Amino acid sequence: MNADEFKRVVLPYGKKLFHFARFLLKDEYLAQDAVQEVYIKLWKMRKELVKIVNMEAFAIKITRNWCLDRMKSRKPLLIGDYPAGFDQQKDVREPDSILEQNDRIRNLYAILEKLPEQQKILIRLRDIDGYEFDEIADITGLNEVTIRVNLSRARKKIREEIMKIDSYGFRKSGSIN
Amino acid sequence: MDLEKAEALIKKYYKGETSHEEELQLKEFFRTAENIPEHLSPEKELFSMYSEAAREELPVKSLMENLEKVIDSRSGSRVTIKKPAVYWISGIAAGIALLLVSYFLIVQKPIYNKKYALQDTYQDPKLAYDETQKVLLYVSQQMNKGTAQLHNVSRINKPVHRLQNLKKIDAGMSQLRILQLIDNENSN
Repeated sequence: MNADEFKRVVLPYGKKLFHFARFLLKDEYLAQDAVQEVYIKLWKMRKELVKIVNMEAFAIKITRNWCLDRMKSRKPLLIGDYPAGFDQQKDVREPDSILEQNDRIRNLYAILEKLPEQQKILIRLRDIDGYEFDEIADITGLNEVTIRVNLSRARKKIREEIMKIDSYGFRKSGSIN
Repeated sequence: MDLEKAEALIKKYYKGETSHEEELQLKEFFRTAENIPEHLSPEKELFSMYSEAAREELPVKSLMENLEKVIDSRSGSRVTIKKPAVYWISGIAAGIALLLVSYFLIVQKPIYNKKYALQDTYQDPKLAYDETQKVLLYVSQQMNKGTAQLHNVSRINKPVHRLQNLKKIDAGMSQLRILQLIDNENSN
């Protein structure tokens, strides 16, 4: 796979990877780093990429693993991997990127934070991003039964949390627990 | 989709058994249906949350540009990149320097030792002993002076000890847990 092919086949997933990484890392800068690291990894293994059937699921899987590793170790970045002068660029964020999440999305993310990491990822992949079960199995390494069971648990829990918000009109977590 | 079918699908959804298509149907149902009954309002909220989260757009333009740059910089055939001659010249220079230093340290060492081998600087052992004792005494005095200052550090412990009373707050708080029961009653 040469650079042009790589850009055509693999690069377009960058946006999805970024969304997913930011969802896990909750930090735009970190998520950008994640996506860059993932692409460097993918580029290094470009010769094997032709064998990959579902490139999108594969890229998401690598992103997931990178993010989970990163969250576990919080290790410093390998800036040696970037081209010279790369780190001297100005703020790579765009001015309008101060996130304008509406209340609903913020509520959703707050609820998801109460779930175990695994279930959170499943909800993201299935109910938000709409991946098929075999793709999710590819990405997470779980089998379909486990995925369904955990999805079911997560969905019920989310319903409970929504009821809490609804019946009070504000988030209940502020009360004494 | 009528209400009955939607409710059946919702049941399936919570069991984790819906297919992708069925979930899309549900999303569509909650987006379009009017007069959704009260007991389905959590689901309405839930599906619209998901739809909105799926539409969420983060700015990625500069990220994508950077990615292209990273790929470009890596795909340029790196074999042909010439390192400046300074690299190998300084490598050789360092090697020579190492050889010279080790020659002087290892080969010349015996000569060096013979010339300046340690010799006694005293004639009278008793005098030497006294002098040594004097120096050691001086060192120990200076050291005691220094450690005496550190004594103040132990004072920090006193106020910290008083902070133990904060634990009592904790005990009070745990009694407040009963209030949670009221809370739970309310939400049921």
